Amino acid sequence: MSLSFALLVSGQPCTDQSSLTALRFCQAALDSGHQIYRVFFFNDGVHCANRFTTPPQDEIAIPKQWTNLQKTFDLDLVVCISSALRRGIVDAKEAARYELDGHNLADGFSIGGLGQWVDACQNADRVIRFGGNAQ
Amino acid sequence: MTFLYLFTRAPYGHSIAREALDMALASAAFDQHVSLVFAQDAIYQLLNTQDKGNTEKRPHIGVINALPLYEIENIYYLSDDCTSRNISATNLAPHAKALSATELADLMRSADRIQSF
Repeated sequence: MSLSFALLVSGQPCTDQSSLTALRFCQAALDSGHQIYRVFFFNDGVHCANRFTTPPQDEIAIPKQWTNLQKTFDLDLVVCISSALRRGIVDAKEAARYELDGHNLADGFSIGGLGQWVDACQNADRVIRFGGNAQ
Repeated sequence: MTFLYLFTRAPYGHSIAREALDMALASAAFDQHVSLVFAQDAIYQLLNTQDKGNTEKRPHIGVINALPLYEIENIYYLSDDCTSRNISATNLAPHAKALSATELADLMRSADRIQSF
């Protein structure tokens, strides 16, 4: 049986294993013939969309991996606008609106509202959150 | 669809308490049936005796008091958490109702989507 999944990513990618696990889950689900309805990046998960992320060469750059996966499978990767603006993740449009001197949203992501997460919860067969409650 | 949000965090100290509450408001704004359970330390989110001036954050109780405006009427805390934290129900937001562990289990069984933050 093929299922569609809505994923909520809320963990900080450099600090927390959860966003890499979400990436691997996505790949495995798609490889097994399931669909990813949408991936929604929320709270500290929005850092997954920062294309300025520059780890040492022998470490994984998570934003690049999401960008590649998005290209391969035409994924819908949405970054929560209120979480993103608070944390300095902006696209060209938001940078212009707030008169910022640069923008850093990685390719393949879009900025959207919580309504898109509500929509994903309604339409996907399964909802999974990656990123626990860090104490 | 019935959305159940199960909160377990104190109002201040981590951004997830506030941002998850915003998510619940968005679900209600998009015409979903929303229930909120403030379990464990999240019961502190309902305290109407919060000192609003001293947090260097937007006061959490403001959003809590606005919940009925979003037509969120199913707001719960657990009686056991009141007892274990020595909190009197008279100090909690008046629109919040007490639940027993059994009632919480029933509520969870009847929800289409459960998210915990």
